Amino acid sequence: MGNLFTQIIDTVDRLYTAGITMLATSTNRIAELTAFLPNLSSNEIAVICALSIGWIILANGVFLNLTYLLQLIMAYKALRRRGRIPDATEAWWRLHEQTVPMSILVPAYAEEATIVESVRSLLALQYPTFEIIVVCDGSPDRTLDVLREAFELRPTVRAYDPALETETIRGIYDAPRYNRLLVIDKDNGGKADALNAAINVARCPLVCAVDADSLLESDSLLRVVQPFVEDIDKVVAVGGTIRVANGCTIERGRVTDIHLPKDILSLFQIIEYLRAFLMARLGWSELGSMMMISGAFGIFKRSILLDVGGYSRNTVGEDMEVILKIHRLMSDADRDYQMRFIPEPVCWTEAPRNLRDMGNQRKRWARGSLESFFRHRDMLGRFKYGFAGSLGYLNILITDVLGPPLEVLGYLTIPILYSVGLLNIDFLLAFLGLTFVFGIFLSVGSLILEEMELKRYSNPWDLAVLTYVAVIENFGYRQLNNIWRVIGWWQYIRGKKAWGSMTRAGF
Amino acid sequence: MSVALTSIWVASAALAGFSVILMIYLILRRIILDYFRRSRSKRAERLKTLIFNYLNDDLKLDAFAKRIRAKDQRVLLSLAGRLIRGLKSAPQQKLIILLNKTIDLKVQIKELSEGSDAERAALCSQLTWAKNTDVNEAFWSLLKDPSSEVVLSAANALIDCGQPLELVDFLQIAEANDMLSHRGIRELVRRVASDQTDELCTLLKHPNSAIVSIAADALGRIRSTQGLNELADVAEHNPNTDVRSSCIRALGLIGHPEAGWAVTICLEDEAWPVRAQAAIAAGRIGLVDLIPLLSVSLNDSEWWVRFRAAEALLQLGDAGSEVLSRATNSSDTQKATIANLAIMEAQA
Repeated sequence: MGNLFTQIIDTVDRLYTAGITMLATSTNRIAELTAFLPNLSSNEIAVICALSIGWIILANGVFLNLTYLLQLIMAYKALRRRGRIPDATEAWWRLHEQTVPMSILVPAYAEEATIVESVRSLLALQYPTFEIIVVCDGSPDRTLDVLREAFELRPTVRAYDPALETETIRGIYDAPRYNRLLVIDKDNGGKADALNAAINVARCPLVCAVDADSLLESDSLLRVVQPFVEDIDKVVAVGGTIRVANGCTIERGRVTDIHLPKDILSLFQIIEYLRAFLMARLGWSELGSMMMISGAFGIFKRSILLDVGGYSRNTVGEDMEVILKIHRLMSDADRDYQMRFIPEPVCWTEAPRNLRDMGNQRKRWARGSLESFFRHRDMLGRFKYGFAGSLGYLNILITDVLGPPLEVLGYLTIPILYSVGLLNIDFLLAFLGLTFVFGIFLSVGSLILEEMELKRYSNPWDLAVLTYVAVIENFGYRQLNNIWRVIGWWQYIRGKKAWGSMTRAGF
Repeated sequence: MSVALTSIWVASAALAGFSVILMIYLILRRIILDYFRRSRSKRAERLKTLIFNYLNDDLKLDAFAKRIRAKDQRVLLSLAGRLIRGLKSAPQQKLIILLNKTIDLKVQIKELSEGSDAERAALCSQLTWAKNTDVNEAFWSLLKDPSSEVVLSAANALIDCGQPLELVDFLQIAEANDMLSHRGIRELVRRVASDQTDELCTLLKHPNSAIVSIAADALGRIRSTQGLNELADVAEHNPNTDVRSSCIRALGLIGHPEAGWAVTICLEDEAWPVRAQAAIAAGRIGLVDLIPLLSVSLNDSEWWVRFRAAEALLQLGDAGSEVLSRATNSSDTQKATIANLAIMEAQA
């Protein structure tokens, strides 16, 4: 260990000397500046460097966790304020005459395993007036064929304004026995392109973007439309909760019984989704800085989507990007608006069950966040964009842009620097506290919110298992996620655009 | 510096430990509460059985009343509130007699001022059977509540109880509470519109454009010809696009040919939503005289105006259809395309 320490110091010394020499020979001014530098020894320089790295990483951790703490507190406040939630029957009686017609947009690519169940579950939604527009985006498999067989599709004509540019629509189909259903067959253009095609064809004032592999609960539309009912003029977008369907009993496109999955990866994702939706989305909604509505379940005013030019086709994070575009449009036009998140309406989705698929998904999410962030970076810190520009964008900077690389840097450097004696035990403990232990508080805190206010898990044993998972996910799983996000960073720098694939078990 | 670092890991550990302990407590609480929840759901089942036995004349009123405890009241009110909506008049009256006998209204009136907004709003709808002076007074006082949910629920309850809710006063309350964009306001206005068409016509001159839109929407939905001239006047002159659009839409729904001149003016409005609504109205009312204007609208700059004009032509009998058919062969591709689309969609 002593030899290693000496070698490190010698190396740092040589680098420092070489660096100073290079700078000094470059310009006279720099030579003058270096003349004022204190005469530091190699040890001192090494310690300064180590402390600088350590403090930067710790500061990042502190800011990150303070942001999460703020979200948790605001989410708790929002949940306590909402009072008793009516059951589905009462919600129907109270709201069915006040709802706004809605078009449900379902982009589908290689979904033959699940599309029929998904569409059946959508057709059975409890909502007065809605239509379902499924977009077969040039699927290489039999997605259109299975739909055709299941619903007896026939070619039809639907006039529409091609306000948003999309790939060629090959045909539009309706179903004689299901007059709410419309299927668009088009050339492949990606998810954003498929959604834009559906927006063009939609006729209702509200549109709901739903993933083809997701299952909406029967009363979810009735609940998620409530902000629009309360203030149709101001509210422009509403998001609902996504939950992991792995392990649940699904019959005829409905989750009839909520169970926990047996594999640890799915369990980790349950906790992760609780944190993401119950804590983060709800917290930011309460602060008026929604920066993300999930592409798997989001409601928008159709007119607003048209005004922002629809979903952007040249990004993998089209769901975040459209939210940023809406913030920009409404703020630039100085219009009063709201974007909200409602925790009760639930969309169930199949989460990846293996590391390969999960890794691809997380890297893609990271790339999407980075693409959106840098595309709209001029919104950062500008109060013209309200809380979205100041708080919300700052949050993206801390959690999605700087956070993962700094945290991964911390995993590598802090233990090494401690082991060579450049950082003391307090530093190490503070780092471990921020990256491993505080995360337990956030994960279990989200579970506490779930149990206090929503109570979806009826079995106390399930809660015990989830508590255990919420603790252990911070020792390995969270770190793996950060590594994937850093790889996402690398892919973003290299300009990677592909979505990747996921193995689906189907419902 | 050491203190700062120490406090970071101590705080993290403390919060983590606290959250785990709290979660364990919640799990234990759940186990205990689940037992009592089973008891509560048994109570609801028991009450349901009693209600159905009573409605089927298997249980007398006095016997029923004897079996009701104080803590059953809220559950009984909730169950009965749902049942009453779905029952015909005879069993409905029977259920009302039952509720009058078993529910302590004083307690329920007190609860109208306690609890969350959602609970109070639900309670309003559950007490409409009472038709009791004290209950009605409680509903009237709730119109001043800061919660829009409670105000709407109370207003609907007053209507259900046959109370004279004045639209002008209510909309002033809604305006003061910034509730006018709540969809429930429109539904409520529609409920009483038939009895207050004079007031609605007066509201068409209100300075608040949201109120004018609400009034226009209500007149259109009840198909009242009473406000035709006022609606036409507002459709032509009001500076607000949404208001003009609402008025012309209402005129279309009312379907009276006297609205023809307003539709004509609006077909050339500067705002495309108004032009589109005017085209729809032309088709609905059957204004054959406007076929030439609609033909010109097939060239409108806005797709929806073109499409609605084409649809309107299809609704105007042989004359309109002929004009549209000729348009399919027009040298103007925009006109030909929209004409073709409208015809193909109508035939599909």
